[in-house]
Amino acid sequence: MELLKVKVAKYWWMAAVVLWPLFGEIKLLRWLLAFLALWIIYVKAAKLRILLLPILFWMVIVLNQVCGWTGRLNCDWERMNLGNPKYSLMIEGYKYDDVVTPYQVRTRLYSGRMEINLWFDSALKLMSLGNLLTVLGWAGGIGVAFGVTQIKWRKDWYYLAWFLTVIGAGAMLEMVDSKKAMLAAVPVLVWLFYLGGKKMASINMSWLLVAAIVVDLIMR
Amino acid sequence: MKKLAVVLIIIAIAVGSWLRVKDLDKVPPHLGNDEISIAFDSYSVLKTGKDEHGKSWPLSFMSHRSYKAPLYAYLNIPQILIWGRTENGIRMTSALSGIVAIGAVGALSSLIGGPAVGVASAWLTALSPKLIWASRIGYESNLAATVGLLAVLSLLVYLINGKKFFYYLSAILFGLTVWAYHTWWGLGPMLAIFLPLKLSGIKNFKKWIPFWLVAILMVTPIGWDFVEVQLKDTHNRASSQLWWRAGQTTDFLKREDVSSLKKVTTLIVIPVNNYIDHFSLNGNFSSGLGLFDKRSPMGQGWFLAPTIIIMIFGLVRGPKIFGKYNGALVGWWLLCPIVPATTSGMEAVRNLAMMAPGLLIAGGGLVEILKKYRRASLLIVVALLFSFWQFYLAYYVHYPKTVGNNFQYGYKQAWEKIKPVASQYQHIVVEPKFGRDGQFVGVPHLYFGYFGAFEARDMLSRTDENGTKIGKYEFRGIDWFAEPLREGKSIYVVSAVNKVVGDWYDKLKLVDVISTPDDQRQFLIYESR
Repeated sequence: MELLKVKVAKYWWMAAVVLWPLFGEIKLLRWLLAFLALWIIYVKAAKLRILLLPILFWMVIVLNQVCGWTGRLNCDWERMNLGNPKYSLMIEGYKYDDVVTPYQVRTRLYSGRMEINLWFDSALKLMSLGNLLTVLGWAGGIGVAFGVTQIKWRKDWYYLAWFLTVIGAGAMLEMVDSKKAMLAAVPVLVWLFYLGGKKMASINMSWLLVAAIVVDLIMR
Repeated sequence: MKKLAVVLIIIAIAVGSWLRVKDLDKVPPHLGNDEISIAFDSYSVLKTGKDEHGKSWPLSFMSHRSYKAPLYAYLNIPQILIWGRTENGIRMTSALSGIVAIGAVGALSSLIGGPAVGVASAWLTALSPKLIWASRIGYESNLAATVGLLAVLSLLVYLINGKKFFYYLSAILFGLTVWAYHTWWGLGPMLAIFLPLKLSGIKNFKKWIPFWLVAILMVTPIGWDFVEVQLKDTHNRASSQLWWRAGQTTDFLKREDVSSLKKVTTLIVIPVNNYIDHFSLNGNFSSGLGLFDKRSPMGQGWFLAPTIIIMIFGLVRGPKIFGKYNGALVGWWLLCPIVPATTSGMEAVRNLAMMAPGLLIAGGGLVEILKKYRRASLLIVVALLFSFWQFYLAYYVHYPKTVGNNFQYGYKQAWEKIKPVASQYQHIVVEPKFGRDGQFVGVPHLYFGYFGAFEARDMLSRTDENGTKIGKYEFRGIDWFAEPLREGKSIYVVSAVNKVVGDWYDKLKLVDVISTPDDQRQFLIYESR
């Protein structure tokens, strides 16, 4: 157990191994490499961070095949939360059915703005612990969850900004593909896992991580 | 400050009351499966002293073999006397318990967080989407959540002022929760042990022995009944809800290509997964309420969406806001989903008990933000009100139009069509199938009985061969090719997909069509030519 404590605390590769479910998407390896390259620039070049986040957002959108660029912007609106004709029609129906709200208010209330609710729903789904467990398995999910409690928000804000950008872009998709959506968040997840693993080792809870790895292996 | 807080809490109760009783008979648009069962049993006990199945003064109502906890049906009797056999007659008990919950949350949060937290929590409770939704349906779980809340409140009052009355009141109320809803068989004892020990220290456990004895005494009669039911009806619906008995799980366990180790691990992991789902962000704050069958831009969470910010704040700053009570409060919140997690599916009614501690935490968070960031708190209050407005429209305007099938819509309307001419017919046959494709099976005999087709004593003389027959009323499936031709005038209420065929075209005529609020054909009414 002592040896494990040392490993969890010191070696990042341990985190990477535990996050194996994401790497299972081997066909997306080039994407993972691209995200890692962007991450390195993001960490090293503090002044460029604000500019890099929109690039990250765009990359996630392209990875999820929501939008692309072929000389002009092409979006598959039927796969999106925002601008989806199915939801636009639904909102029109609601507007028509609502005989309570005054007309002027109704026209403003029942608009494309309502689709933000769907985007918000997908974003919350992506951030939920249940989803993290689905994507990362029990070991990864528990490690990351512990990691979240260890973040020093003022110092580590840029990790959070990266993570929220990935979530925001991933939530553009109507039927969220959790693994794909979270691929770009791997650097932050590894870091969170590292923090979580360290914390667990310090409070003698490494056994939980070992148990979770065993469960993951059995459930595979 | 205290006086102002009391006034603001009273206003919250008034607003919350209006939201809970406004159009109570129309939203939801029809009584649901569980509601009608409790409604009929409550009415039947009032009139005959027996439930639908003829059991005298039952301690568990057999219902659809779900053996419902008895408190709601008995407490509801005065409502039937006041409102008659109507929607209000069954829903008002739930609405009233929802109103009491607002005051209880206000009082409880005032005690542990101060008057400002009391006001914030009371308002959040008054406007809570899930509590409004649950208080407008005759759910035992809503009554149980309020009884549990009162038990916690009494316990806290005792710990603060030391009056023995509240000590015993709390014990009695904890015992009573078990009479109110199945979830509390587990949750009641957990809270009755955890909260006193957490709040007064484990070393003082001897002080609580009389408390637990009183609670056990309260539970004994219903516990005895429970054992009898389990021995008599081993496959009752209540225990079939346990996760290892759920269809999907049993199918998985039967698979031969899966190792025993994986099966055992899966059995352990399922309730843990279920437990975590009760804390899912989207369930809590954006879509968990399930008002609409499809994913909808008007979907609503259990809490108003902006509550996510104040709840996180309340959790992080809990030790400062609630002081020595914080551990007990968070523990209470975390214990609530344990029992629901052991059942299959994600039934929003089963975890209603976790709303109160959640709202207390959120109320504390709101006050803390108000103290530290005045402008931000104003924005949050505006966002909460806007979010509530969206919920209001979603729930009161759009939900009743789309939710017909979930509430077996149409049986009451069918009876109302037949009622004026019922005496002219010798046979009234009602099909239990409903839904666009006739895919659901309902309980029309309860709807017809409750809304006045026959009396409670008639139900006791029913025969259950080939459906249910009560006097001239027959509730059974109809196959037109095998349907016998009988003497006398008949009326048929059939699912919209079961149109008459063959010779029956000449013998029956279509006299009415019952449609759901979203204009889907639900029932066809035929009468003899």
